[in-house]
Amino acid sequence: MRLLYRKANALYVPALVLFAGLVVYPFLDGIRISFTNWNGYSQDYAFIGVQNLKRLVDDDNVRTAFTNTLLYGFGSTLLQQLAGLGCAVLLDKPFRGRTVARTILYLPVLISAVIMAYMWSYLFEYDGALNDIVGLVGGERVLWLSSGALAVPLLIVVNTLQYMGVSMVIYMAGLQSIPGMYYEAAGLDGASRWQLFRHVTVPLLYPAFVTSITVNLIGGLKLFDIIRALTNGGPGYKTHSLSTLIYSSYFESQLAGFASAIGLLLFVTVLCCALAAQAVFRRLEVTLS
Amino acid sequence: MTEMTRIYPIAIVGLWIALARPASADEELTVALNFPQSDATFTEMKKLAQAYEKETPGVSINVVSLPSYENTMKTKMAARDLPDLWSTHGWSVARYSEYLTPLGGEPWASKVNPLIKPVITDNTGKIFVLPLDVDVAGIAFNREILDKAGVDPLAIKTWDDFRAACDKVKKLKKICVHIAGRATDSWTVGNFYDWVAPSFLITNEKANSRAALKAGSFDWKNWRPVAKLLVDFRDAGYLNPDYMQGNWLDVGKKLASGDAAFGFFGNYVIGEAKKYNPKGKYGFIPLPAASTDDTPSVITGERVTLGVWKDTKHKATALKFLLFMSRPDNVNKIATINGNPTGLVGTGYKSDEGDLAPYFREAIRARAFSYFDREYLPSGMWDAMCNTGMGLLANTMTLDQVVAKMKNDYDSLKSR
Repeated sequence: MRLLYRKANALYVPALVLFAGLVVYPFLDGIRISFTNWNGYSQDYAFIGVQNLKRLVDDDNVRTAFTNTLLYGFGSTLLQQLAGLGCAVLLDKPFRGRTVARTILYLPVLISAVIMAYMWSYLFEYDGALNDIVGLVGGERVLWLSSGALAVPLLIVVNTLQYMGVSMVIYMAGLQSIPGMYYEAAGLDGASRWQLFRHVTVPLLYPAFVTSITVNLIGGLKLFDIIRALTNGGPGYKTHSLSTLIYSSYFESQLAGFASAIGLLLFVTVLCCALAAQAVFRRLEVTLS
Repeated sequence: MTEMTRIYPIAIVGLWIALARPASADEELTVALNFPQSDATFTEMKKLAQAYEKETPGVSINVVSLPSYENTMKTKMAARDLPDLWSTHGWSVARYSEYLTPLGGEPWASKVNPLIKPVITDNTGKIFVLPLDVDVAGIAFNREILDKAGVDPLAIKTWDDFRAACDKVKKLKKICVHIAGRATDSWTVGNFYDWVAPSFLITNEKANSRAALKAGSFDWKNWRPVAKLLVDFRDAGYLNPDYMQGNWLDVGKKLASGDAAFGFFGNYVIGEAKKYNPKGKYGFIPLPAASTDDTPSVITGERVTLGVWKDTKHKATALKFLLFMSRPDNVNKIATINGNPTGLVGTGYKSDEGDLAPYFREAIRARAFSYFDREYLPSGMWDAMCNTGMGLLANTMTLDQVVAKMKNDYDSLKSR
């Protein structure tokens, strides 16, 4: 039996080797690089101690990117849950054209984020459709993505519209799995639609919440392609997330050491958010049960 | 024979057929260019490569346009997996020299155009590229708009003269300076600063920051007037209203359509304009001075260059290909396409400057300085120039923040 277990354990080895080579080694090497002044391509570089980590604290752009990362993560997640759940509830009951509606709402998920961003960029253009609509109602044309105050919320909206289909599908599956007898019983006790939703649907959708929020939160926190395609972190660093700032620092500013330090910050941020989310889910699970 | 023992040989033969390749040339060289495949320079380089292949059986030259050229090349340098030859787009000394073969001993090295020699020579006297042309850049303009506005472009000597010219152009309800500053294409804003920075910091023989910038002791508060110029142009209404949109190709279109008067780009923007309006009248002027005790200047630098990877397995063949490219006919073709002087001089070397010839004569009279960011800033500062400029245009950064960011990046990169 012991021999059988040893043989079975040996089957882990290829996966462990891949994990070590593709995850652990790059992670540790990234930490090493964050203590150097490497420019990303030269064979020569020097150890500079904690200068890059100190710069994380002093640099305004890192603070902006960190704030934006949280906004993209939590902002997109919140909107995706509201939109996804709303669409799932509306599409739960059969009606003529329901399949077409589901398909249309899910389609953006299948489109590459870069293509989605390029499509939106035409809408946001100075001479684009959005400004045409603004003009029709008597307003002045707006440089939509050229204002820091507008650009971040617009990126959250674009990300939400791209991926709310994921939440919708998760919630649809969750709704389908709720036995009808709970609604019947509650209905017999005189529960209103809102009470049915609040006291039957929501608690029984808990597993779907956990899945959807986790998936969307991770996606939002590491948002990269939509930002890169729409604003490239601009105007003037205002819409950078930590992911895009890593790319910009490494390839464009040739500060590979500093980029690695930002990568560490991103890792810690995502880890803390994931742990916090888990703690909240555990507490909710206790409350609901 | 079981099914499996019948299938195995068939599968092996099938795999062999699928993987079999036609017999390849004895040697294959890769030449990486930073020009898109639609660019005239790329097309001409491909033709020249094919001509070399006809002349040299057994050698195949694969001319490629790498996506996101600079980032791809940086990755390749880090991986020590470089093409046999590549174009260095202004960075042969400051960025790529660590990986390039010194070429000072080549037969064509003594013919390098004096205009570009200082730019491609490192501080030990080595050169690392064959320059096929020389970028001589000033401010490109649409002559017809300036004529209608009553502006003599060659009379523009200072930024005050330039502003006066813009005021006249504005009266015609034309765009004075077309900036295509989409955030994803912000190099156009960086280009503006590359054009204007020398007049404030470099060209004045009585007061300049050349030594301070090279020594790393530059006071970045002196960047303020440079950074502010674009904002002043915006506030004076000289820029196109959609200055945060578009890309540099729009500048060529606007020059061609007679909507924009000036473009802060090299003469390649005139080449772009001619695609849309070949009969249009265009020109370029030296860059104005920032004060009356200084004179206008032009920018010179690398445009089309080729270097050889120092670790290529095909060094001898690569150097022979460079020798082929250095022939007068071939150099002349590349230089003429870009409307630039040839990178090599001597018997037989002459590009057809076309209707830009009078402006080149004027340009040669002006003093020439290298591209500001390539000569005076450490490699990697270009991004800061672009993004801080975008931040000022979008009012998301103050001048103090711009100065702080430029200083921060400069100090980090200079300390390497």
